[in-house]
Amino acid sequence: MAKKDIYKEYQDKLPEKLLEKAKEKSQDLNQKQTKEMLEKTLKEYEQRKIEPGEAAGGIAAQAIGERATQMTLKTFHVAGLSEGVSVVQGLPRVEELVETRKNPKREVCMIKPKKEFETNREKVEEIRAKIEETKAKDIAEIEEDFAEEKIIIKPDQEKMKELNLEPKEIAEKIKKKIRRTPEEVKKDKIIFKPNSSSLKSLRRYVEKTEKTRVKGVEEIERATLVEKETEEGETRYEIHTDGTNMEEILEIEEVDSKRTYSNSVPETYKVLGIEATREILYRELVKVTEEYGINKRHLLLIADALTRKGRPTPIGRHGLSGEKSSVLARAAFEEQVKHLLKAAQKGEKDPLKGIAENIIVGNPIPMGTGTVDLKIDLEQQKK
Amino acid sequence: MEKGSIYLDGSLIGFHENPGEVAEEIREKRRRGELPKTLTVANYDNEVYINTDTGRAIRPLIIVEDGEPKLTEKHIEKIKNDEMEFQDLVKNGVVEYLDAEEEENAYIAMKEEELTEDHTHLEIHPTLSLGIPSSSNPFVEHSFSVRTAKGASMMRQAMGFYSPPSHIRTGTQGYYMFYPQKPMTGTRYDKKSGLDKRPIGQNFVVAVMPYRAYNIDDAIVFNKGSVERAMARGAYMRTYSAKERRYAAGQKDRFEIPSEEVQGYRGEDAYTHLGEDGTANPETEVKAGGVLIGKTSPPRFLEESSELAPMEEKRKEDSKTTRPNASGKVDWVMATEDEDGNRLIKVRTRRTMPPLVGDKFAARSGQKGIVGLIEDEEDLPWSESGIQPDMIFNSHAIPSRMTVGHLLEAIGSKKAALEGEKTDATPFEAETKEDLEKTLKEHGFKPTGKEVMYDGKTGKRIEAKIFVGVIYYERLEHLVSKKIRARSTGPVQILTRQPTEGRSRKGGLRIGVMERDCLVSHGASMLLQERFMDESDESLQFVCTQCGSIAMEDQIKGEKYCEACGSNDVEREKMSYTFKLLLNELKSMGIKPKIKLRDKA
Repeated sequence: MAKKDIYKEYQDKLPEKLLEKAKEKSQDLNQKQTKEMLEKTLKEYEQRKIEPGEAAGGIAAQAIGERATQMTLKTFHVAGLSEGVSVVQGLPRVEELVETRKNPKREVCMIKPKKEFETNREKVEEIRAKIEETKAKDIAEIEEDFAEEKIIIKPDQEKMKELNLEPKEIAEKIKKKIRRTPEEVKKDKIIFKPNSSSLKSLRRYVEKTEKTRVKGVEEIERATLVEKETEEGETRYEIHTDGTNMEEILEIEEVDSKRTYSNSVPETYKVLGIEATREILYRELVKVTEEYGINKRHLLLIADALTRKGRPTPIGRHGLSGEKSSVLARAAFEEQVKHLLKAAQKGEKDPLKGIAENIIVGNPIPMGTGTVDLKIDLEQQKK
Repeated sequence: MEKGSIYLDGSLIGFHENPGEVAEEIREKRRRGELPKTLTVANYDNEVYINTDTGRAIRPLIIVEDGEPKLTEKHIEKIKNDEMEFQDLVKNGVVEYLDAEEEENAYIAMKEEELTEDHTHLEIHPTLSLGIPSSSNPFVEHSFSVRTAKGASMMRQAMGFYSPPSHIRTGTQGYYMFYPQKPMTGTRYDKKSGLDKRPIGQNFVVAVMPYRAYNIDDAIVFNKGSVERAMARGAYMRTYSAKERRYAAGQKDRFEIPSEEVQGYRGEDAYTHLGEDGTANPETEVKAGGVLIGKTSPPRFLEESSELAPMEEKRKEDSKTTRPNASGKVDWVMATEDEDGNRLIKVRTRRTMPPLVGDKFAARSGQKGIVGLIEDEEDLPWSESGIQPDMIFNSHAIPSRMTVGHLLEAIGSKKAALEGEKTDATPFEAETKEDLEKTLKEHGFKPTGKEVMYDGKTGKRIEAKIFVGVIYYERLEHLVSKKIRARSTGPVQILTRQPTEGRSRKGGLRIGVMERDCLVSHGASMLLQERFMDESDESLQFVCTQCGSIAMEDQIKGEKYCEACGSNDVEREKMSYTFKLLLNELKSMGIKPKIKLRDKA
């Protein structure tokens, strides 16, 4: 038998990736050895499969929970360490992900320029400048004149040049923000007269003016250029930012929308959809739990569970646990009275299919040994 | 310049241009005796904290000025001649008390030789920087500080001399050791702190070696011979009390041996050891749950019964018994009156507690262990001179914990045993290791403390030389006999019909949520059902197939029917009692749960 036939024999039994790998490794082996190796691979593969009735979810929870207790201790030691763009780490980050919180603490975005610009430092720097959010107060001195009820903006010439900005543009942006037309636009002076009724409201206008974004993408507080060396020894550049705004970043022409990555779960869901959310949850979970050696399949399961409803569902009262189908299981978790009364109003039925319900009632649980059941079709018997 | 703020006992009282000056002046005044000696001042950056409140630990230090201690030979001479007292030193501004906060401002020299211009204080003696328990720990300066702290905190739990008036004390519970000994290696503070007068342990001959896997980790092996010779033997005492309460209409409790007519009579045997007055005779054995003080109470509903007919007064049995797990001997009986003039009897029981496998012992240096085996004396190793150890602990307990003081104590006490004189191990000025080794050598022992030993079982020489010494061990109050428990069947809670919890209630061991999750993860469905149903609150209920509510059985008529709809179509169903309870509770909420039955497969 040729080697090819041997591979063919296992085509249906082994997953494609595994077979590819086996092919690669068995290049120097003879037929008998190849067969032996594949046989062993198959055995190991079969052993690793989840059996029917196995409590995959429970095991995943324990696998993560056990490490989480260690993480609580360890996060204290890492606290205080900060360098450049750092992310929330350890247990707080896991909580953040698993609860799919709306506003994660530190949102970070890794922007990759399109392949043709990747090695061009100046070009990437240009993109960076485009992205970083600049506020009016960063480039100009803003003063208020209470006597004449005026806001005087004195742009810093050097900074203006650096960012390639014109006073007109600034005036335009501020005009949009405070909804007032400028009285005077000069190179070194822009004056607004907002017609305010009191000093307090003038102050408010000044504050608004200060916060006006004159350049860049909203929410991006800081963007840094990062050098990365590829295996071939080529230097490539990418941009890391504090804060994300995928919607706008992806609209920039030079940005490679396929490889740009944001660590924010809600934003990824908003911009890229549920499949991307699943992937991002998995990747972020791997990132925080890497050093604890959790089997990635547990994390995959979690990511699947969190996204299976077509939207990110948090674990807990407002999410997975609160959406269980069984009344008894829900009531056993939290807010018992609420669930029981609601179930009564609707006349809910509990078919006792889950774990918690069956423990409460005192039945064997439909897991492991309990999955096996004798099923006889009584109708058939009668015939 | 910014003004500094001044705080008195934590509350802001004012500001000052130069807070450092304020602190300095307050200190001066305190030294002159114009301010109380317990007042302390701490000066941080721009804030001055003055503390006068209670609860701060303060300690005395010699004041140093320009590198010279204020205490001179003259003072010492005067104190020796009884012309001066320690408090006079405080009054004269030679010594002052600092608290932890003011200590932060001080620069304290440990010894006089170390004094420099910068020092502000001098330690009276280096050991005064330690607390009482730590300073009674021999060779502390050789041990790791964490271990010292552990050793100091375990001293509190040691069984020893109970209390000076222990023969007439009626504490709820207490322990004492029969023959406590002075430590053979001690510190100068033992005399001052009273440890010599009221010791808390015994000197054990200790061999350091692994022993047939019976002293793995922190386990220790005991010599059965030593145990039988009353080593570390002690007793546990517990006091029970009962009162003759007065009730309405001149009714009263009565201390007596209950008669047969009394409601709840325990049977003749239960009262045999009681005296005429109803209290147990001293030195009689009392079983667990046995009667200590016989007492009867008047009937509860006196008026009702007397109205109907001249009913015979039936008193209730209300004897004081020992706890369900605590047997013992009657140690002492006391009869007195309480503040309202009611008769009050207190009975103290005593139970001898010989060391058992599972009891906890600890040395003063923080080395603790549990007895893992009480080995027959003839099987234990013996040394050249025929000495057999009282105790063997594992050598692996030493390196990672770095309790060198523990080992030095062993050599120190060994020397003390040979010389017949206590070895001084006062921190910072103890006898040196070299001195101890020299003395051991003089007596014909190896200076290292190691000895050739022979296996007690085979008689063969043990290849390695074994470190043998004498170490002072405390017996801690965690005794297995007060903790051991097991249950097959037993009492259940009334409400849930689940097993009770806790040793005193003969309870089971709880399977919690995490244990449950474990069984679920293993898919051990049947085991899970056994734990949560069969061995817990399994119950048989009747379920109405018509309306789905819980039905009932009339055992007299022998018929089953549903109270809710009157149907006789009732099935027997196994369910957990808590579930039935849940259904009841739902009904009380206004929800009607229904059970739908279906043929299984």
